[in-house]
Amino acid sequence: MNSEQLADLFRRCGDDVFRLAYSYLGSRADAEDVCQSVFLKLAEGKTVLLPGKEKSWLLTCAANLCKSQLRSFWRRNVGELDESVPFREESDRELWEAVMALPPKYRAVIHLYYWEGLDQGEIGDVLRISRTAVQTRMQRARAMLRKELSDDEELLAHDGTGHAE
Amino acid sequence: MKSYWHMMEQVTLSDRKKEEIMEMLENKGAQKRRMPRAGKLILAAALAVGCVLSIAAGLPAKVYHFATGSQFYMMPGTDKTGMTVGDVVAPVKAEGGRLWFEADGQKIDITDQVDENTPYIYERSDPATGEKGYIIAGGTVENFGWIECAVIDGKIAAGTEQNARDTRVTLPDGSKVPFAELTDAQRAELADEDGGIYSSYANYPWLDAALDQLSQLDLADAHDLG
Repeated sequence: MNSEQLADLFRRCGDDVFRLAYSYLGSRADAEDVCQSVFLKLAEGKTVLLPGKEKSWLLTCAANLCKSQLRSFWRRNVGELDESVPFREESDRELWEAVMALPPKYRAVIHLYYWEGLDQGEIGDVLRISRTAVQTRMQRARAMLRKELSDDEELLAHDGTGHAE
Repeated sequence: MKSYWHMMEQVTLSDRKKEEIMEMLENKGAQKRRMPRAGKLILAAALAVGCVLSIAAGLPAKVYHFATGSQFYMMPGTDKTGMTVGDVVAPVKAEGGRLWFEADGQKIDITDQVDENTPYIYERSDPATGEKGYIIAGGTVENFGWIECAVIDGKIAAGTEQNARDTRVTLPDGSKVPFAELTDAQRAELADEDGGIYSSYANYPWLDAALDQLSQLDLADAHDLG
């Protein structure tokens, strides 16, 4: 992949890689570093992406780096420097805070489902977990969100349907 | 109705970061090592003013450069700490049936000095700052691990990843299973209460022993950067 192709891929998918990392790690600085690391891996030229599978690889790579960060000793022992997201509406902030209150692995599942529109099998492929684990995490995450948000509120996906299973 | 999509649409990379990554991609090959923005700022400042970093808020930051890669920084007087993680260079390797420790330009056969309960503790000073730190290794040739710790303000403040292979994990029923053999269901179950941090369930007797030893030292002797 040459520089132009890399730049084009970054323009198309950079924000989405960042979004997954941010939702996973809850830290803008860490998410930016993960995003940079993902594209640097590509730039090193040791990875060959199959046509049509570019984004899937990017998300999987980002998820792996996020998991490594979460497992690392330092992250469990030091605090974080973070910047908040300047949301336009208060309801977005409330939702963000509710999602960020979930355990990281739940946030990742929620993000891949509601933002990327992946099905359970695809989420399992990205996160390297079983379909059953995806289902379990999704159910628990939704239950926690329902408790946090108003009872009559449900998350809407990009298709406006709630992305019902 | 809450729209996840509407919310997440507003979450984007900063323009500054986008420019930095685009520049990196356009100069493909020129930059092989990852050096995150924060790391660059800290490293540059540390070199310029002898380890005392001036940041926007005017607070001096303490910095520790790990032998294994990465930098740890802390803003004195606040609870703000952070770490930039670069390409980690493992200081312990198994070669030819022996366990080798490599750091700061030296290579030592530590096979006979460590086991599951006995650590090898290497004390070092950050060449850039003089700040004290430790690299702790332990285990066996088949299942070894390591961790590097920085000493900040007389306390072990942070460490790079521990990297034990075949770590045995304690399941809720008390049984111990090699990490690599955990089923997806077990991994999910173990991660439930700790946000996916499996290693907190791991047993590292050699690390516990090392930390016990270090806790008896007067770490406050560590050179104070501030």
